[in-house]
Amino acid sequence: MSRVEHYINRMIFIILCLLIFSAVLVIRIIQIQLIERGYYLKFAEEQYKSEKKLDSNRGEILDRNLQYLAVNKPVFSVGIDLSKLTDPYDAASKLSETFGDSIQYYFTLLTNSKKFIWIKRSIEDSLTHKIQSLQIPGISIVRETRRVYPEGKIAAHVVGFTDIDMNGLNGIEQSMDHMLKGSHGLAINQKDALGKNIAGTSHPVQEAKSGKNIVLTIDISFQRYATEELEKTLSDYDAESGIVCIINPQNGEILAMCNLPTFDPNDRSRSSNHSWRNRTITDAFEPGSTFKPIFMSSLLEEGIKKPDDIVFCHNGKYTIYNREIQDIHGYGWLSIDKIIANSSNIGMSKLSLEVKQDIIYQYARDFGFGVKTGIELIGEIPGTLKSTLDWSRHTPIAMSTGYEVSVTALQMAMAYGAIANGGNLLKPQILLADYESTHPIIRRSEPVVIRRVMSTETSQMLVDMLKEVVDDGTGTRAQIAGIDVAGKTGTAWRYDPKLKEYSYREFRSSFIGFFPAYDPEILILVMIDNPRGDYYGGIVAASTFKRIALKIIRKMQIESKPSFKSKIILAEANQPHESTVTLPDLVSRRIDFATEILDDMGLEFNVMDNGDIVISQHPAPGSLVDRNSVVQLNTKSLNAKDDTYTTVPKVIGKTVREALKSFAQSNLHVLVRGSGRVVRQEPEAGSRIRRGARCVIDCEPTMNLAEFVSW
Amino acid sequence: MEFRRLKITSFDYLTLIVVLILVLIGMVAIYSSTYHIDEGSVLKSNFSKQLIWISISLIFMIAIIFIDPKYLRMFSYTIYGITIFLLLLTYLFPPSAGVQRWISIGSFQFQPSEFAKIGALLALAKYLSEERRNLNAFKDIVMAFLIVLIPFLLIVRQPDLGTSLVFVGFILPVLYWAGLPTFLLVAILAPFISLISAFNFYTFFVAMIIFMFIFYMFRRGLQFVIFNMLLNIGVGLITPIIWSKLHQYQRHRILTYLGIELDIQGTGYQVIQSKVAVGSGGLWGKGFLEGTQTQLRFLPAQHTDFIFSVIAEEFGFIGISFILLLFIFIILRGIFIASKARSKFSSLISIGATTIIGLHVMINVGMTVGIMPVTGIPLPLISYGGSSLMTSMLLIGLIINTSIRRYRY
Repeated sequence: MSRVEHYINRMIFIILCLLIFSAVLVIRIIQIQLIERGYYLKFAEEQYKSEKKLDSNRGEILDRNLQYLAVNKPVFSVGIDLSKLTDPYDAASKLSETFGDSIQYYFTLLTNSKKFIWIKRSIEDSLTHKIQSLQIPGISIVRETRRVYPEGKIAAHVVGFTDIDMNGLNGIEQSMDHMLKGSHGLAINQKDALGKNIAGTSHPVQEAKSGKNIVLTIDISFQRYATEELEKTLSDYDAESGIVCIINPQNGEILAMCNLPTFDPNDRSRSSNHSWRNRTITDAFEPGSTFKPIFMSSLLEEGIKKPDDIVFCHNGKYTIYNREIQDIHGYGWLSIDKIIANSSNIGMSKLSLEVKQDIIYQYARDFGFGVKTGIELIGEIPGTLKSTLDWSRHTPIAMSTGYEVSVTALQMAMAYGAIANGGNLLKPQILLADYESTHPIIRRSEPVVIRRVMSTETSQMLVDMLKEVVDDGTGTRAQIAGIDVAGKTGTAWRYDPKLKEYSYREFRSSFIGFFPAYDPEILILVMIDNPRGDYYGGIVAASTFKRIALKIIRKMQIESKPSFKSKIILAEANQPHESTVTLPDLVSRRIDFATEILDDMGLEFNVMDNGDIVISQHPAPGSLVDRNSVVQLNTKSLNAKDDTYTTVPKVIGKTVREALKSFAQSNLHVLVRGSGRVVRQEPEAGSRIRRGARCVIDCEPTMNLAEFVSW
Repeated sequence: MEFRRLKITSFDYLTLIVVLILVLIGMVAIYSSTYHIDEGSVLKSNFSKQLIWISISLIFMIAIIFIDPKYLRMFSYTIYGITIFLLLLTYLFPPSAGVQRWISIGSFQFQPSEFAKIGALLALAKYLSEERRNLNAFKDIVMAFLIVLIPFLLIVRQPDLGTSLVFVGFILPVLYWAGLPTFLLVAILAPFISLISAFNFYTFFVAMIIFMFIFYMFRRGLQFVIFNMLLNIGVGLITPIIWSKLHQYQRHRILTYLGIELDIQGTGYQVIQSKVAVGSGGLWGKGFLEGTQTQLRFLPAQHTDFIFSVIAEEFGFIGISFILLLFIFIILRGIFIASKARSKFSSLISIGATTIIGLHVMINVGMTVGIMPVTGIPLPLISYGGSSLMTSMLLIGLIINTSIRRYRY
């Protein structure tokens, strides 16, 4: 074999091997790169894509005078990446020293199998420095926001609360959650093999959309008066619970909705959840005598009786269908209006026999009983209005005095609203407006008439009767000098569901009244459950009504708010003399508002502590002071951190668009009036105000060609 | 003088140009794989270091081209001795990450195991090119194996399983080229096949029957058949014992090769990420600096062992096909040159150098697409690393050395 042949044979063998190897490789590469490409592409994408949720700002909740009821406060939460933690015992002892919980607690927490855990959420920012100085590996402080309720327990049931992740759990926070929440943004990033996000990748970012702010019809001052007076009554009479509901009967707006017991939404852990219930809408009860005017409306509207028709009242004791009916005082012959004024059970029972059952049912249903009012709050119940098929012969008699029908306090208030406003049942309104931070506030609430339940004439007759109740009947304690008050007392037996009978020692006192009696602006419902000692509605509830009404009248006198267009005749005793003024209630107002009011009144003032909310004032609200006197305002800060304040940017001369941008950068809300360029701004540029406060800018159109082109 | 007899026209420009193209592609890939998204600066320390290495390697390559083979042959054993000495020296340096592969002089580091390939190749070529060698004789074959076995054992101990396997890989083609009879080639290869088949009783059993048949077909006598059968059965029995003594990571690598992916963060993770890089590249690739596997650092050892995956991801099937074609050209060219070499020594040098480069390419590419174990073998001329590049260039230099002297004047 020659040398060349030798090499050729071996060459062929080696090249064959090479080709086999190469073919295997190429087939494999084609398989991976061309055939299974989709699978590997997806695999690659899944491991580098990181989607980050961008939190949206939750909308704030304000009362009708734009005072804050729910705001967002920046807080800090402490978390730890357990994979970086080297010495859990050391870390646990350090944390225990800082936060106070036991070492064992933290040790268990830190030896968890999870990768990331929260150690403490919502800590004070003073603690953050301390935590940083602990130098625990893997620890991180995350900025979050927490919901803060500056008014605390005052409007707790209406406003509701959120959980720590800002989901609404009660009240407006829950019912309007979709609106408050806004929408999360989404940032798609690339992350590298270590999980670190890579900035500047070209994926689009979907910005978070802030939630809308909600303005409630609630007037926090009214709410406060109601709470204060209800608390006083509950403690005076050692009562179990109580409800005050204040509405404007003309448009159905709820001005206050107060329930006791209440809770502090800033610290729910200390309250039991039965105190979270908004009893005004979640609890139904038999109304008792306050139902009489509603029953009476059917008699009057159907023309069965006239106010001056008379009924014999059997001197306080009468038996119908083997059941004895009693009056507290015995009466002989009573006119229809006196039956209401004196709340005669016998009179009502006898009258009930003259109406068809269907009519009774129809009227009760028309007044809104047995159906939900449709208010935008969570947990409303419809109450019970039995169908006539389920009625016994006793039912009409019972209903005429307010039994065998169960109602919510709100239903009662709205029914009386219909009497007060000339016969229209209105839908209760709780939302006055909603707005986005950079947009002007637009009123949203419009009165919604559900139905006309009686003629104006009938309602007029009933108002006359209800005025008689206060003037010369069971409700005389609700009288207010100088103002016509109409109302009705009620003292109902409590039904004991366990014993299945009425308790003759436990009562529910109520008073529902409105003023001025003709063309009323304010309707107040007071319900006190199980007062001890005195229990008559005319005593317990009517006096509570009066105390609340007096405070409201004073406030309205002072402010003569355009929203109320007050035509209230001032009580003589409170009429200001030339040299004296009645001090308005400035408590819980923002300091800039408070000082503005005092400025307008020409009063001098001293602001203490440089906070942003007035916590107390001296002299007290409502006191008559000399025009030369100095008012002392004690204030507190909503947030300890200074970044809650911001400087108002200078926007005069700027376009609306630029101005909105500047305000948005300073976290300020803005109300734009007019269009074009800013000519006025309020408060003035450079002043320090709370973040999220509202500024007003006035704009006027300009015609500047150069700018027009550059726009 | 040797120089005078060389005509410039006979210089092997073709091979040199192909090599330079591959080196250039390597630079592009190294640039991409060391390009951090958040830094983005042009002068990377790795990139510039590699530029220096390329310059030095080119000089050495040109130098080796013009050395007369008779001097190479003369100093073969000396060079071999020096590389063995250097391998021994690594044991004097502190191990880094548990392995003793490096010799450090100041900030300068190199891997003697790379150069040991050249030393072993020269010594083997010299030994086999001597006239008195008889490749039918047991003694000569054992001696040839011993030449390779010494560096092999030293490297296995470092430990560097991958590099040491290259020594096993390249001796057989060289012996075969030198005239080893086919029946002996089979007899030598058989124990390795027995070793792999020994992991399963049935495959082992079938392999033994086939071997018995083949050995009988060579008609070399009963003694030959019995000896080989005993040897193969012995290997099959010992294998499980050795297996239990292997390093954990070595076992992991071997298991990964066999398709048993034990954990995502271990060797399986590397293969998966490499396959994802290659697979997601598609036909045209994602584009220079656009590969997510590379730029987001999912791909491990991307500028060294897995640089092929970087190219596959960013330049696609088209890109790697081009590279593979260039490598196949070099290998075919090397085999062709070996067959035309003027002396047996040069011929063996060429075939050996070609085999070493070819083995590296096959093992490295096979590793990135998951059909070879992850052995830490770089891709010649392309992977980052001075020692590897220098060795590859020197091997190419040896091939060109043979090439320009193949014509007799």
